[in-house]
Amino acid sequence: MTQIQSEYNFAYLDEQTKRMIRRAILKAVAIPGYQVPFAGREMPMPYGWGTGGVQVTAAVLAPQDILKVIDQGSDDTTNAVSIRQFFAKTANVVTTEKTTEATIIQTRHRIPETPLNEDQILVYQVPIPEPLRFLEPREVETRKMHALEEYGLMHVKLYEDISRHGHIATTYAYPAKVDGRYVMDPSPIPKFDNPKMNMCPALQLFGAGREKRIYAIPPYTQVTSLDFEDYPFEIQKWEENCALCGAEDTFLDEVILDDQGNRMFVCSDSDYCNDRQAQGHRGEANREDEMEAAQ
Amino acid sequence: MYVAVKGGEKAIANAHKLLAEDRRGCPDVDELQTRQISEQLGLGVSRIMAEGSLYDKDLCALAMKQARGDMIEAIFLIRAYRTTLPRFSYSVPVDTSKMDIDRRISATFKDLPGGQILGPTFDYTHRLIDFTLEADEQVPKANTSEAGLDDDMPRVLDNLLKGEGLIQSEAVVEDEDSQAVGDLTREPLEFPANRDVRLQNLARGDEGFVLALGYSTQRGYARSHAFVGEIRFGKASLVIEPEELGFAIDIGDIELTECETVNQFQGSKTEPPQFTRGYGLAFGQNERKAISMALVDRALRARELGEDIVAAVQDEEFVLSHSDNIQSTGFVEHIKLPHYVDFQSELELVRRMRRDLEEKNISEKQAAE
Amino acid sequence: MSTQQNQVAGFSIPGFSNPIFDSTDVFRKVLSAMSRPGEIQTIKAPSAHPESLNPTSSAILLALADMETEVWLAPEMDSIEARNYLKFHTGCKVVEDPKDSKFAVVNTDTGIDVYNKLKVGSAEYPDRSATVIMMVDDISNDHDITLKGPGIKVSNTLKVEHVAQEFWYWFEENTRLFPCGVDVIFASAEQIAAVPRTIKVEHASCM
Repeated sequence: MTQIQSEYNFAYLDEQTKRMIRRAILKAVAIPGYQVPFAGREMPMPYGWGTGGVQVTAAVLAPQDILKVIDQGSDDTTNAVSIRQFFAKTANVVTTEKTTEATIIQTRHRIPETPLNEDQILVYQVPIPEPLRFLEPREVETRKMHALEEYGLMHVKLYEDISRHGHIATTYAYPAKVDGRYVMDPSPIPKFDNPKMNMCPALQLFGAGREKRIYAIPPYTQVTSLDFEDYPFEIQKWEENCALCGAEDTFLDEVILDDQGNRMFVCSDSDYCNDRQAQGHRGEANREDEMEAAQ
Repeated sequence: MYVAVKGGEKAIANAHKLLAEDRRGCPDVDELQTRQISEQLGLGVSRIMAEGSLYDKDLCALAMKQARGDMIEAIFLIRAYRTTLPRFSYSVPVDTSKMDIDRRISATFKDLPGGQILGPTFDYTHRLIDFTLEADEQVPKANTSEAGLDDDMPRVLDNLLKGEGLIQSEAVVEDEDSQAVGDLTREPLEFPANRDVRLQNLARGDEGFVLALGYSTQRGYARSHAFVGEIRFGKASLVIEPEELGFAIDIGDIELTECETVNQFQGSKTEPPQFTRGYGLAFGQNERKAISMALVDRALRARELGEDIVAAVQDEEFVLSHSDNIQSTGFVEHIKLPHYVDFQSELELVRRMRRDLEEKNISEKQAAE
Repeated sequence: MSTQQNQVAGFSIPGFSNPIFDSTDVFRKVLSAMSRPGEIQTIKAPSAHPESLNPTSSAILLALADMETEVWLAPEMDSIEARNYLKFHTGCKVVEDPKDSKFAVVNTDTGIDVYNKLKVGSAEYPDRSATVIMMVDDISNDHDITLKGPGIKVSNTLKVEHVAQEFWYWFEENTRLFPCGVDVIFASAEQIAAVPRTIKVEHASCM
């Protein structure tokens, strides 16, 4: 294995490919929310498994970076592990699970709960970059709609939700407008995370490998989730708190405990949850344990 | 106490160990040599070369072995490898009319200059399992003609049919050298796409997908009855002309299968009735792919011929966006990755919608009482 | 210098000492500059560069140009030495007309007619536009202009020595083309700062 790896460049991609991606990233930053087409390459992991994010990370990564990779908020899910190992192997970079230590965070489906800072870059893996795709399958048409800033169809769709269900039925990949111009797909993050994109101090880069698009939100840029005056955007809320750390304001995963309908809720951001527990915060499940231990 | 799932790293490593063991199979059985694959499973290797878009029999044989015979997995290995290779030079266009022919047939003429050359084909074999292959059977040597073939095998569409003006003439750009040929491995696919890019996409496209689309045109979805004008399979030489040298160098031969179809065309607002063309080309020997590709190529020329676009096969966004099996397999299979954050969001929504409905029903019931 | 020497001038100028890591480093600086308009980034310049280009503009081209990018050099920046250097290290095409360029290297004396020729992209593809690399004497955060827009928390101040007022007028027009438009990188000997097409510029004198 080691022999094979040495035949590849730093961070796997050849320099020519990196330059092509880097130029696309610079355009993406200059035109916030606009999807820049790029000649994405085949990567040694399947399309749909983060090849866009991996290419963006590979083009940005420098030897002194500290990389964190999360999937569903967690550092230890299989695909996150696999991508982290890929960069540890091909770029020999330091990796971390701590959000605060990382300089580059590649993510699938979540934004960390810990607020990001100016020295960080958040790289999103994007499956379908086109927010209008499910309303209009044709690229020629959606491109025209973006050019003309014609987003009426999107509003119609959201409003149909309201008239049918009484509220907007989109819960993840919730469309947002960047700097008052382009409507973008924030990747399948829960809408709970949408507000974190707004005026975020970190640079946010989005890579869609199969669809060959890169887009960006520069730091401190307004990102507004689409809504209506009478139906303002709102995020998910849980009646429960995290059973491990007691957090009241995080995105919670439901864990099924048995086949009797018993379940508990825990933070999806494993680093944030561990951190809180290390600071002595306790949720219900943990408190019981301590009481048992004390008895 | 509940502990979140950990140990992904170890689980992955162990799964891969098991994969390696399963790939090897029973250790009492001889390990498969890649040379056996490239020599004896040549058509499989052809497909990997065509869709992997890399002409290297040994490497494709190795990929097939590593992929345990899973063709799409093997194609994937080749694609991921080729994409990192530096480009030294671009060849001059391959001249398939100067091919060293192994097989050449036409369905449009009974006999024709150059003759019908059957070559190595499954056609007319009876599909009966040959149990003698279980043993190490000695294969008798095939007969070769002493006469030899014409060096210049005339092309049915260009040399034999074109004279009467019955067949669509391919527009040759005046200054061909200055016209860059598209390359979708270097430039992202853009719509509407030109024929060069469409053909490249189809050549790399999944055999099954292209086959099914080709078939759909025959069954009436954008039907334009096709004849095989010509199929040829053989070796063509690959020539480069390095700028600093100023002369051509033959760098070797590649095996190619080429198919040109002749299609009926009633004429449209812009074009008179004539025969139109479809074109297919594949690395190695793969007639099924070359014929299917020609059918789909013809269907995708609807725009240029002023035909109504009525079927999926004529819709270039549909065809070109879904032909690549590495893209499709990745995205189709990615739904096995964890999606519990999205699912959690949906779960919450469905519960809420049911609760809303229940409340509404109760209040309506109360109002009725 | 004899004609023959002239023909080979530039080929012997070394590029990055470590092309992989130096390119990455320069790209990250350009990325920061573009993401945080007006914030000044210091670039570790290559050990040598053509006389007609300054160290940071040379470094940016080494990092970002290749055979897929067309580069235009304004007459003061143009030389056989610079062309050979770029051709040798990047393989880029040096074009004769600014309208064909992806990167246009200019200085503070370059006329507005040049900027007006640059590609701004189309409504469907606003990314197909040029990037200007302007060689300047000095960049500071002194208060000459105020920048506002994406990438800037409240506002940034910037002073670029000797930039003509007409340039800023042109830039204002440029921002009105959004999403089309040109992005500008100012490059002094050691530092860079950028103003992408999104940025609104206010002049201290007008306030």
